[in-house]
Amino acid sequence: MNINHIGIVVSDIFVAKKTFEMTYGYVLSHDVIYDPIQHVKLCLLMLDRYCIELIQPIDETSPSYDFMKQGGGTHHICYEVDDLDLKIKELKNKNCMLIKRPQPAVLFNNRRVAFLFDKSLKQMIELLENKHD
Amino acid sequence: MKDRLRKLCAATLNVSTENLEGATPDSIKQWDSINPINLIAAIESEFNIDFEPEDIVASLESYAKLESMVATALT
Repeated sequence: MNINHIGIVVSDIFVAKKTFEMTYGYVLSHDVIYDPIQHVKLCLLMLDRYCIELIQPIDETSPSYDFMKQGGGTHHICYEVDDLDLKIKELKNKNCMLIKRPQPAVLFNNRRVAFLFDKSLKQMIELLENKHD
Repeated sequence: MKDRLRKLCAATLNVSTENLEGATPDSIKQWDSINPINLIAAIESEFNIDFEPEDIVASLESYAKLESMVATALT
């Protein structure tokens, strides 16, 4: 298991993207797309080997809409895993709650992702399944 | 169960237990201002139950719905 990215919820993805690029020197690695499953706009930015994902909820049907209404900011840590279903089972036995079942992620070429909430850390976790070529 | 749930929700949402009767996210501003997932996490820990992902969203529609989901999960 390794970290893929940190997810950051913003109210305007284009303003936030420009700030990360101009103020901190991040480089765009995936341009802004609309994810119709999550009802969010997404993009990826890199600094050195670190990746952040910007998330702009479109409306109240977006899962992170309430979080944005409370001000947004750092939302989740995304880990890449080899066996998504096995890791979900493992984390559920370690005080994590499954929030969203595995589904394709448009931003990651439809690799499956799932969301959990770590009740001990009060932290949202995204699991991204590794490519199986 | 009802009493424990009412006390837990009142403490988590920082409202009086009386205000929970008939409560919805629209009627209690704290319902929206805290991360609603924290409320579900606290309930799961208190009652040692697991909500299905689909039930989490449904249970946050109103206090009555939440109470009903917890009762179902305990049976």
